[in-house]
Parts: sequence; structure tokens; C-alpha cells
Amino acid sequence: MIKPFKITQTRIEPDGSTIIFFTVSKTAFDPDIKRPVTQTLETTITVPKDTVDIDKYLYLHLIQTGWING
Amino acid sequence: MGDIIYKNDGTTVVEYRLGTVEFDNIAAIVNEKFSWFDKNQCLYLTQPHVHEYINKTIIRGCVLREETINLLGNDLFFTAHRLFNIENTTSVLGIFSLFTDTVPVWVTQEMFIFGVIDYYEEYGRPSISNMANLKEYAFIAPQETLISLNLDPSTDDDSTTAYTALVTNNEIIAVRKYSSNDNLNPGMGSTIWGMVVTEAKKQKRMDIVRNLFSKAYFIR
Repeated sequence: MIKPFKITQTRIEPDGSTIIFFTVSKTAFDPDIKRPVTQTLETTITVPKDTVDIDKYLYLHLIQTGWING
Repeated sequence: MGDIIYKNDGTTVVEYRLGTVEFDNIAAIVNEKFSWFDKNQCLYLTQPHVHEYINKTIIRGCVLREETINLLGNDLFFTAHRLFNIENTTSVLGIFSLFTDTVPVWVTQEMFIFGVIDYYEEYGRPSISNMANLKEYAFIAPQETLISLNLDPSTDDDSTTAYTALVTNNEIIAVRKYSSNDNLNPGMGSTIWGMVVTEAKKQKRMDIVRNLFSKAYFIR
């Protein structure tokens, strides 16, 4: 299974939430310069306590923010 | 590098480059089924054709190298593509890389395998079933082997030709002939042999290149 993001670290906070450190990239062909251009985001997101599927939470967030085509 | 695929059933499948009318027409078909498909993230698309293993109509789309590196976390591959099953809106990622394993047991005749395509499910995207059981091996072989496999051994001086075998459970289920499509995609310049040399150097496996180029049936 290939994931379109890479979780580099997780940290559980005192309130039970989880901070995820992750990287995601987006590549598209730029017709003006006639070559692919890649944007990379390295950041964190706080996942609420009791979230069952952290991958799914992050995946849906990345679709909502336009980093992954949904 | 755009391909022309010659299938065993006599059909020919042409791959078109981003920026052509044909590409745009095929991209519209993919977009109709796969809302997440962005044509600017794809360099080539094939005509729709029936895949020999899944027996469904698919379109193959070349994945940009930079995107593939980000997905895999390495650059140890020739090319990557997605197969879009337009009948049931499933897809799979294919990675074409240098063949470094031992010769498979289904190889019973003289041939040299230089590459292999492995298929992977992608997170969040419904996957074509059982594709992990399929491998597509790229090879060259003497004329008599090609003919015995029902492959056309003729080559065009202006293009690069290689052959593949679609294999599951150590059994060949189909063979294909691939030629580069440089007449339709002028100026691309890269050939599969250039990619083989580049990958072999990266992986410190120039013995594969020496072995490949030493074959009497190797045609540059």
C-alpha cells in the first residue's frame, strides 16, 4: 500500500490528542515552463483524542486543503 | 518516452503526450470516472484497451517522475504509470524498474530480462483486484524465441523495441511488443536503453548492462 504522505513522527499530548509530523508533496506539469513543478509541505496537525484511524484523518484533511486530489 | 503497445490479439495501443488533442480526449474519459485525476499530473495516456489480465477496459497514464519519487521515497525505477479501470473506477500504480532478481522459473527459452513492472495499491483509492499477483517482465530475445511466443520480431530502425511477458503464478498469460512512439512525440530523446544504463549505474549493477549489450540479439 503506497500512501501519498509520510508521517515522520507522532507525539501524544497530555490532553490525549496526537500531534502528527508529516510531509506531503504535489507535482504538476507547468505548461508555461514546460516541466514538472513540485511543492512540498512539512508540517504538523493535531488529531483529536480517540480518533481511530490517524491515516484516514490526515488523508481527508489533505484532500480538504488541496494537497491530495480527492 | 511514449509507447506503442502491440498486443497478442492484434490490437495496437498508442500512447499520447500531454498537450495533444488525443491526450485531452482520453483525459476527459479518465476524468469522467476518476474525479481525482488531474491531467497536468500525467505526461502520457494510452488509448483505452482491454487489459489481458483483468479483462477490463483500462487506460494507462504515465506518472510524473517527481511524484513517483515522493510516493516511493526513492528514485530506483525507470518509469511509473497508473492503470485506470474505466469500467469499475478502480486503479493501481505500476512501477517499472531494473530487474535484479534471479531468472524466474517460467523462463524456458533464451531471453534476457532487464526490467519488471510491479503493481501497488494506493491509499484511499479503490484498487484493481489481484494486481499484486501480476508482474510484467521486459525482455529481449532471439528471433526464434520471439516467434515461438507469437511475437513479431521485426523492428523499426527509428524506434526502440522491447518485449514483455505478463506473468502470474509463474505462467505467461500474455506477451506484448513495445516500441517508442517518437514519431508522435518528437524530441523526447530518452530510450529504454538509456534508462537501463542510468538505473544500473545508480544501483551499481553495470554487470546487467554489460550482459544485456553483449547479447547477439540486442538491437540498439
